[in-house]
Amino acid sequence: MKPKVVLVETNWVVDVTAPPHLQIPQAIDLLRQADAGEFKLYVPAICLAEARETVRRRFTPRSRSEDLRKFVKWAKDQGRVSIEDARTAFRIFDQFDGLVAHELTKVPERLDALANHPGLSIFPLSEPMLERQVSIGAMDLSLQPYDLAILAAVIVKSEELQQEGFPWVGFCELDSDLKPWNKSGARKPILSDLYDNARIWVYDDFSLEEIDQLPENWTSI
Amino acid sequence: MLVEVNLDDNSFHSQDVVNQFRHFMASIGCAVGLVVFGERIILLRDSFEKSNGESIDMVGEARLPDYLLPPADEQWKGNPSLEFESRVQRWLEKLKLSSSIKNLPNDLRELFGEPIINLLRLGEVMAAGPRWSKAAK
Repeated sequence: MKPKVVLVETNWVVDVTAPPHLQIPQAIDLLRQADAGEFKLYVPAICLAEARETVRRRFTPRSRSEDLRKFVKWAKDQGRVSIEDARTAFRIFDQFDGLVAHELTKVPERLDALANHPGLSIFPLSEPMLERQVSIGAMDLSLQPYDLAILAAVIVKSEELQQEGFPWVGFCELDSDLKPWNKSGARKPILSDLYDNARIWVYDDFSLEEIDQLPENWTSI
Repeated sequence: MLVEVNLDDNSFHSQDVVNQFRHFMASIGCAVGLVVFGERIILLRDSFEKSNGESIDMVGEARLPDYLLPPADEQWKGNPSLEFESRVQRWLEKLKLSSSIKNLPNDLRELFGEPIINLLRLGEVMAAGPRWSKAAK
């Protein structure tokens, strides 16, 4: 059994808008399946704003090649790699830094382009979502403001979708703070109840693994 | 790093498990994988020279003797698969300590080497899914 509606969060946006060689195939595949009409994909607009910063911070090239540059320089000075090999390595680092820097300037374009995908809906935070954010914020979940906003958005959207005839939804998310289980796989009671009450099945990746059995009553409206 | 834990070492289906695991590593762009089959552990690494997991090679394998594994988290007692998963998770967490590395058998220490131990030290070993729902079944 697979959901007819799938929600995603910032990690998915980062994975599909990163420089091309760093994009995650599973995340791209989820978008492809949505565009093919296998399910509807929803993402809170706030995730795009968060991803804009995250992609830039995570993939800025200098920090990624600097250690390698230092290593090659050291290895060349020590006679561990030849001068020619070191030159080749530095040429590749230059190409890498140039490519990634160039690709990072295209992130806003790629974020905008997401809106053109027929299988993806980007939804803004609504009044009920902001209200829910306040009520969930009082539940002692120790979530960061962005996570809290995303959680409220996902829960309220799921409830709205039930009204529209989708009895349950899937939520593909990689953020450990938003998972309804802890590091040992045990249930986080408050978060689990929030997801269960809103009929949200949480996935740990973007593979949409087959579900053997849904909780009782999830399939009826 | 991804870790797949199987309670049994059934050579008949272990190749399928490894192939599926390779596919999963490639789909999320993961470079290092460990597959546990009972008392056997396999290390896989993707050199990223080819696409679609074609450059994921088996680096080697070693024995994972039962005595190395700490007891399972109490809450998973009674479900052998979950108990075993929990024991492997706890063992990997303990490997962050240098005293635990010293106690590793030679083949396991050689298989892991510094890079794997450093990966474990840098990160957190997380259950990839809810164990409670499997226990409820």
